[in-house]
Amino acid sequence: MNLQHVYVLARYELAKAVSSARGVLFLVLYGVIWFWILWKLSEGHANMLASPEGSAFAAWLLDPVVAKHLFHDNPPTLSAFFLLALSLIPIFVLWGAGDQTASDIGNKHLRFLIPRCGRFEIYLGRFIGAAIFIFAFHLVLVAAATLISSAADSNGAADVLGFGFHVAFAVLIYTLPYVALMALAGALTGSAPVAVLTAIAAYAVIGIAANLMAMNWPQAEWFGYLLPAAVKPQLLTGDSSAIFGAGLAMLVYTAVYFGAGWWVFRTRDI
Amino acid sequence: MIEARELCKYFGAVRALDGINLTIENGRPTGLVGPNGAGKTTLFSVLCGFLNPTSGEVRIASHPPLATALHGNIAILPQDAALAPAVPVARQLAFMAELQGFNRAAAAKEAARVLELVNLSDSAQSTPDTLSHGMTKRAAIAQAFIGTPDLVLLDEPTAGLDPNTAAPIRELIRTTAHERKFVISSHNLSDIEDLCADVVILKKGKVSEHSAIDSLVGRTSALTITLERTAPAAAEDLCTSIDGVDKVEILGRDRSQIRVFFDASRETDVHVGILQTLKNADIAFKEMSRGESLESRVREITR
Repeated sequence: MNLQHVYVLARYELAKAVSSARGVLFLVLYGVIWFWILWKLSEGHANMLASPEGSAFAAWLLDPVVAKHLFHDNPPTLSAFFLLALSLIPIFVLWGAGDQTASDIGNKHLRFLIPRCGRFEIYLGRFIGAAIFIFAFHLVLVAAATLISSAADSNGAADVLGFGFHVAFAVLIYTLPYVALMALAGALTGSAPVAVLTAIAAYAVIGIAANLMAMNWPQAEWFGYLLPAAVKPQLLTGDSSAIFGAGLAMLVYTAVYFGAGWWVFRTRDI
Repeated sequence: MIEARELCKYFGAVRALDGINLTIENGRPTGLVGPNGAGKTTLFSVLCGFLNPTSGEVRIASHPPLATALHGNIAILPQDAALAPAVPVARQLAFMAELQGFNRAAAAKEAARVLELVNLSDSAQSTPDTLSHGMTKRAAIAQAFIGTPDLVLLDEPTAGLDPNTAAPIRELIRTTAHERKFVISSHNLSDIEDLCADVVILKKGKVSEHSAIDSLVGRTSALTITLERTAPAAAEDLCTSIDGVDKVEILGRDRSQIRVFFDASRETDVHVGILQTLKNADIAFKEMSRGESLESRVREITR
């Protein structure tokens, strides 16, 4: 593998993402949604979740221990952002990272590239470019949320900053498998819109089917583990071994999706 | 340089290539021709590594297509591949040059050089979605001339280009043919005749003919004369009576073409004899070409 090729491909992919209509549309829509959320959070509403009534609500919504960890032991505004970020990531990452190789398979643009570099270099370069694009956006969001939290919450700056690093780690590690999932979907379908729809449908169907089936057959809950969302609750805990385990699981999901996509991409007609 | 062995390609139940065996040697520009559905584009795509064969194998300079050792040594003009619509042409070509090993500054210069080759420097900063079909095609041709590839595979290089645009592209291929090996797939048989020394003719997924164009069209043993008017009844007998002539055919629905076959060793004598005979019989002609046309030979072979 030629690392220079991977670097050039990733850089070009990144430049294309921020200059294409599709990339700009993603940034604008995702940005507007987050601007509105962060604006609301900046008003300090999340502090209500640290009150006894709010804690009871959060404990009902989440696990009581997790609720206490998030809204009592840590800055509530940043915790609220954390919860929302982990909920929104799947849908938006599936969209934002949805066109790694898909369109270029469909319009045969890859035919210009494969005489010059290897298929794996293309696949990896596109994956890295897409991941950096989403990572950069998420890092900006986490930084903004951390700043807002330091102003809106009564926690000390060191606490906010420390929890900010935890949130950044969790958000990025949770983003990665979804980028890999879209590498797989793109290689399978050869069309960006179809890849996005397929991935979103799979995400919804697997989640719903696992829950419905589990009502009569408890083992069906394991179907949910086909997607990283099943491990997401571990990222929200204060237990460092659980977080480490969840991080490892995300890397495994990433490797499996990425590997499956590569298996398809390496032999498919382009 | 290019070897295909027992190459088969199926699309579902449709057999597009049927046991192709082919060796294309270094040095001589080679054309790939055949009627629609003959498997020309499929064979081209398999040779380029775009499509995987169902069975059989391809070797280019002893490597599988797209092997790392071939990167940058092969340039391809795919027929229906699209440049990124919203990225300026020069940036795309510079990106491709970087993948071929140029550093960023050199890649930008190389992009400018190849755009100059296809007379597209003025549109370097334009995006393909703002260019005409012909200009986009020229940009795609430009990418095939980045660096110094040993082998250039062109699929329909002049399709969709107007005569004023196609001529410089033909000239570019002709003038660089001594530096690299060209394989050209095209429906335009006059392009193939003009640019190539050898031709591979496909029919129903098989190689029907692979030979030098000169020998295929009998360039030194036949003469095709296109007349101003219908050939007079006596034309065939007049030409047959010329010393050295073996056979005479009157062609065309309006009988306005005469094809004369003769002993190649007496080519000059026969040419002079024919001109003299036509003059004596007061038969005016529009055009005279050596051999049969490639088009008629291909039509005959693929009929």
